[in-house]
Amino acid sequence: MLLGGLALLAALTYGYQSMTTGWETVTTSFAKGDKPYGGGAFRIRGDDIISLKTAGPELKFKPASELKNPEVAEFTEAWMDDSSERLNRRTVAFLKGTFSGGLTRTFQQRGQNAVWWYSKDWRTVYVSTGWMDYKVPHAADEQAPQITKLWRSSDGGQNWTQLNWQEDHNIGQLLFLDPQRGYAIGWGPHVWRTADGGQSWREIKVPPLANAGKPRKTFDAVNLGPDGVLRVAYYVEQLGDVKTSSLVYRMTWDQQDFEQDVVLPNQTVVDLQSSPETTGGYSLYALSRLGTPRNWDDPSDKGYRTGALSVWANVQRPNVQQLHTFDDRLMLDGLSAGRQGVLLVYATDATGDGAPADLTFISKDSGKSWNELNDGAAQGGYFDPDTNTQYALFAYTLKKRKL
Amino acid sequence: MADKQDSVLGTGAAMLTPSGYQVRPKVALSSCNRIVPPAAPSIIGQCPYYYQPLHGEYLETVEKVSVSSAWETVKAFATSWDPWKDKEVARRLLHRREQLIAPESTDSDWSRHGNFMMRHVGCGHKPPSYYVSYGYYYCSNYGAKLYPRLSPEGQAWLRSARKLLQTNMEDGLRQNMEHDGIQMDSLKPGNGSIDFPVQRYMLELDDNTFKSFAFKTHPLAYLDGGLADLPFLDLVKISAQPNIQEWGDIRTWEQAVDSGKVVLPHMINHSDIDDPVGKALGRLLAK
Repeated sequence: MLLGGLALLAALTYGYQSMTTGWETVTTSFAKGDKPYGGGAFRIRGDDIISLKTAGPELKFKPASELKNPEVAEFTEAWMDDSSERLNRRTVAFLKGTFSGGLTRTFQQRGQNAVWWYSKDWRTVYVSTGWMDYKVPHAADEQAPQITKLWRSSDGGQNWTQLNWQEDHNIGQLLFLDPQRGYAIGWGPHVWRTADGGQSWREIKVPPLANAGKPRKTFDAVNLGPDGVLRVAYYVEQLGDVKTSSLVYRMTWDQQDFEQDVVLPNQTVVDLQSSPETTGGYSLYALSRLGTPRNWDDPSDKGYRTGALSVWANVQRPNVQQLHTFDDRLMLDGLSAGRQGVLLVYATDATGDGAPADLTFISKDSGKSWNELNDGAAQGGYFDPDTNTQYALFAYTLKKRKL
Repeated sequence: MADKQDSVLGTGAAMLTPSGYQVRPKVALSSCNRIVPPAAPSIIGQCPYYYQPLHGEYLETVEKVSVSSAWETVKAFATSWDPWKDKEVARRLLHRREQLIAPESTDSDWSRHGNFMMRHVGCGHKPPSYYVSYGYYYCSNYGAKLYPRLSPEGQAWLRSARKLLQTNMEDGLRQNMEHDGIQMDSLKPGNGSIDFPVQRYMLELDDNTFKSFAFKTHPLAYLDGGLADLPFLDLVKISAQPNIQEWGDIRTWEQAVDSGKVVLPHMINHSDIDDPVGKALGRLLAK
């Protein structure tokens, strides 16, 4: 009977495997010892692993003999039943280790959100944590304050120092040119710059109309190019002659103010990525939703928008070229740009009655032709543009795919 | 942005008409309350958390269709169904509206679906179809068929996973009451640590967004429930469950789980044996 079960297992999972074209299994026990489940935002280099992981508290269950209803699970402690308690007890952890030796937590702070930056040699790591108190009562049109903290490690994440940072200044992105020079970008949006490894920060004025609207507004996308040029993208209803467009502004390290890079008419940017630098410079890729932003107050506006991928070069007065469009049934999730014209667009198709499909559109010729792949639902992963390698985590199985 | 929660059904405008006028003027009543109250801890872990099958139309749909088409029918039904058409059930729920929209309500008719209906009266919003199909129907059918076939450890896992699926849903809804975006542990390749994109208060109001959010939480519930620690035979049984379209056919279950005749032995390969957890999860996520 067991053999029969095994045989059937093989047969029934055949279709699932055939969809995961090109994947090669790295390990079947990735981050298995770290609970609750999750590999976090992991990065891999040879045998070495680092990861930034946000996770809820571990929830434990009473044994069957103690249950009021034998078919309904119960938590062991009363606070586990309270959503605000669960959210308040979420933590941010930095993990490091190897495939052979496993992962160890070297940093842990309370927080529901976190972003990080790490140097190419993984020696310098910055982590910011954001924690919100879900138990504080407030009016429905107000928002609970968030406490932001900023940390730095100079020894690959082994030891950490908390940096001076005003805790009501949210951080949504940390983008560094090198361990000393970088940007923190947060709600407002606000942009801060440091030149001394995060010891002191100076606020940079954001481009026109970027901060019009809600106090917790963010840029639609930001990117730090391989030459250290910071770009930000945001949507405006009108700015001078420009109407219902996304603006991309740029700033070199030597500049004190943003200057306009390109205008992307009649679209909202979802992601902005730069290709790795070559002798001929590099390219900027913007993934957008065409048309006006979704009007949530109009029930007939279901949010379906055709997707578009545009490209321009890192030159003065660049020309923008629209490379490809994507069906309006897709929710666009993100974009990666690799070497030798490799592009990946991540999307979800949740239309129809069935389960949502996680799709990856891959081009190996700078966007001229595309393949659509349904890889099944991964629980994490990333694309390494330097090696054109895609990593994905399925349960505890880490897979990689060379493009 | 947020609508205030009123203690009455809604608002209407009075209209003066001559005393001899026989046709009553229509006054539209509507209430649209986007504030999702927390569920009572006592209902979390049970299938009626999603939906209480009070509606005749749901019961007729599920019971009258052939077993082979039940799942597809339920999914299509949940997407197109207008639960307000059943006047009797609507009246029954409206009579208890205050209890059904109260935080941590323990009313016997409470469900996420009924709670939504009572907060969105006449304003054109429909409850997420997920509550009926992937929520209630999947939970009550999948659980009923798989549960008795699992070992005691497997049964404990199924109980825990069911509770965590609903706990995760509660945490997502709670976050959506506070801010844009939902923090997810299940990161999507390529988008790093960016939150699941959804505007504050809008999670329950967009069917596709809600479904996408809910599915992202599924693997976490299955894995945090202890899938990886199950006896190998339980993993095989989970992986070998019949195609969902054939759930109703008991013979398929017997064949799938207890017999090896239906497959060719040469289809075994090492990766399946090496990664039973991944395969079981893949099967659980294929709906």
